[in-house]
Amino acid sequence: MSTERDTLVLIVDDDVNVLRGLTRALRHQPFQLLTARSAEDAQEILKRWLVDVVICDQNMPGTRGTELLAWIAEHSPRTARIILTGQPDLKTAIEAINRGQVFRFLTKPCSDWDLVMAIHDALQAVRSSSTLASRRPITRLPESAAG
Amino acid sequence: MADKKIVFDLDELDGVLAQVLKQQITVCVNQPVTTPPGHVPITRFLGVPLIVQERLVGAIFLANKSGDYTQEDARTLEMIARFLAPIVDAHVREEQEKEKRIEYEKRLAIQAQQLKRRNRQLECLAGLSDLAERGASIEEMVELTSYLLAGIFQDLPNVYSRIIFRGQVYQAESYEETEHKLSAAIFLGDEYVGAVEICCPKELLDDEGFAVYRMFVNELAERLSTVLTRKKVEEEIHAFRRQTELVLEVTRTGLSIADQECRLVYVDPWRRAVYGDYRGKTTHEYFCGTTSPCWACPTARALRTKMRVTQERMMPREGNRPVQTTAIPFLASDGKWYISEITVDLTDRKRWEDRLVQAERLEAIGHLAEILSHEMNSPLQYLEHNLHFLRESWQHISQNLQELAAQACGSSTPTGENTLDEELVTREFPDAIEETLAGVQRLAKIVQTLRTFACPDASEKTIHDLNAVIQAAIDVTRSHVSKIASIVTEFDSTLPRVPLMAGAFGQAMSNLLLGAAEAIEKRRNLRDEEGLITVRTRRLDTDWVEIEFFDNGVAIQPEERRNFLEPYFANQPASVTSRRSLVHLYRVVVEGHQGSVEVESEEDRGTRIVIRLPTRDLQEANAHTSQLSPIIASEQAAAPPDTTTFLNENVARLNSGG
Repeated sequence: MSTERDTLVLIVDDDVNVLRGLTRALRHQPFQLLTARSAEDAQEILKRWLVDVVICDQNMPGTRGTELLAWIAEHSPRTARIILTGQPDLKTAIEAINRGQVFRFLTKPCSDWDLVMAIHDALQAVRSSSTLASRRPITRLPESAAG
Repeated sequence: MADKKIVFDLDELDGVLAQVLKQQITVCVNQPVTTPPGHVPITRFLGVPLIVQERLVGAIFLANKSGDYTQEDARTLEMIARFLAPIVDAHVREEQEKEKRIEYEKRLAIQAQQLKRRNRQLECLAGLSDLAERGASIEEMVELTSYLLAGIFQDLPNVYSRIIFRGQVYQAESYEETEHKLSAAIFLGDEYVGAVEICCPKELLDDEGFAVYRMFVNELAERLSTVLTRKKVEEEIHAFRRQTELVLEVTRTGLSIADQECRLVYVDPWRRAVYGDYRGKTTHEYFCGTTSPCWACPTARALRTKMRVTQERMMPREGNRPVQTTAIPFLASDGKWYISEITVDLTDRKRWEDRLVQAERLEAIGHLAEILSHEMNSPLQYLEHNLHFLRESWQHISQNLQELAAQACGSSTPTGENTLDEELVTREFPDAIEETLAGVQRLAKIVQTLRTFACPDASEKTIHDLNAVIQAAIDVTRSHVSKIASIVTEFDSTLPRVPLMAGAFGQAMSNLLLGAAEAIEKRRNLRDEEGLITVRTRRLDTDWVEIEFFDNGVAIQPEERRNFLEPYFANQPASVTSRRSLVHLYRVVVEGHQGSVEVESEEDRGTRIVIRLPTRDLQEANAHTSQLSPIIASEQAAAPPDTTTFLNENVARLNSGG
């Protein structure tokens, strides 16, 4: 349980009401919730903390959701990326998948349950891949030694 | 004797006879005289001249008396001569008169014949002119002329005539080719097309009486050339006119020409069919049924200003079809001014524009759907979260009501899970409710905006707050536009409420915003610059409000600007897409609201669109004002034709009126 408490989930949306609604919806969940109102704020947080899951709105003034996710994919590849958008158009989806390599593509309005499930799935994925990642140097070591 | 000369000239005579005749005296010779050979010998001679009033009229000669002629004989003969002389004289004169009369009658007969021929020739020429006047065709004229020509020579045997025209020969059945011919060429303009020919025997050619025909053939050929050429030109003009009128009819274009008193001198046939006989009528009498020209009358204005005037109007007697009338003044060769008025049908253009507006409306609805999906989804998102939160919290509270009440009284210490979070009650709960309410209000506002947009058909004007309508347009397009540019609004709070077709106007506004965003996006592709859209409203005076719309996107191309002043521009849809819906704006503002639109666009400074709207409904005002003051301001302030100013006449009228 304590490990889960250390889990960080970041929500990015320019609409403060959406952030607060999401905070309320996820208040009993076993992870810490961070919020950011813009891509720039989110980047600041991501530089400081190791965030496990990012849920990001697509349509924000300034840097757009997919652009932020692309940035995260590059700078914090371990973070699972979920997009939550009110405009589920094909262009956004393609960009999110190709550039942001998103884990889930959610559309507004999205029920509490779906959201929670998406976050849990994402955390699951992050954990399994991180265990793999932590093992990887060991399996690789003899190879590099041999080489 | 037969070979003897019996008539002698007086001068040739000599001897005794000559003495009698020349000296007019009595001669008596009683001895033989010399005679011409073969003449009876003369032994004695007595001759006495016959004299009337000292004029010799004859003589009496006696010869070969058995005895000598005596003085007595001479006197007796002189007496007889005096008695005979008047009788001889009278006889001679009578003979001479007779000869003269015969000769005179002969000449008269020749002249009569010549006159008769000349008359026939003239008849022929006159007949030709007559044919031309009666509107015979060229071929008919040639054929009938050949009959007339044959008629001239009917009394002359062995004379035949014919006309050759464009390879076709017009001749009588009895026509015979002879060796000798009179011939003259026929020309149609400069083109050699045929000849008039007369065949006749040689002796007739030498006849003096026949010589007139040489002239006549030339004359006829010349006349025929003139008449046929004129006929041809007439036919060409007629054909051209028919063609022109056909074009006018097919394109539903009207053409009328009026003189400087506005009296019509020409009206195209299909409008003649509608309006009747135009002769002697003035343009306003004929087309409008009014006694004096109205202030908007393009013909009167063009006459006054000597400048081209263009006017759009409805033709009530032509099924209210929309037309654009262009009055063009011109100075004719007679030194007078005329106005040619060309009326172009705008039905197709209006239809096209309607379609354009419809397409734009569909596009706007598409935009709206996109915008709505974002605008409504966010509130829905947190509404759901908040309501879930409230429900769960309420369940928690209601299930543990007693304990919580006790806790509230401070009699019990909170235990386990059944605690009432202080923060929950004091902050989260009211916040959640407030935010939920805000979300609902936002949804309500979106729905309201949607309603404004969904019924842009309402052509009825109602009093509206202009600022609110513009704000609604901004709100609707914000999610799209704000990604590209920032919108700055400077609304005049003292703006009077104006009569507005809110739906159409709001759509025009949102189109402007989207167009500006498009332009800014293009500019951003060229260089990185902050997009800016400024919307400003202000009050000009009691009658007018102004909306200034500025963006720093790419400028409107001059061709495009010219285009939306062109009557046929609507047929070139390609040019519209680059800067959307200025046509729509024009129609809404100028035609719908009697306002004006001005466009200034410069490459480095952006585009400024100034819209002026009247604060009163001018259409209604017009309906109540029977006497319209003549329009002055718009003509004096007439912008050069390539500036982009839509100036409605009403605007100018109002300005000049006060």
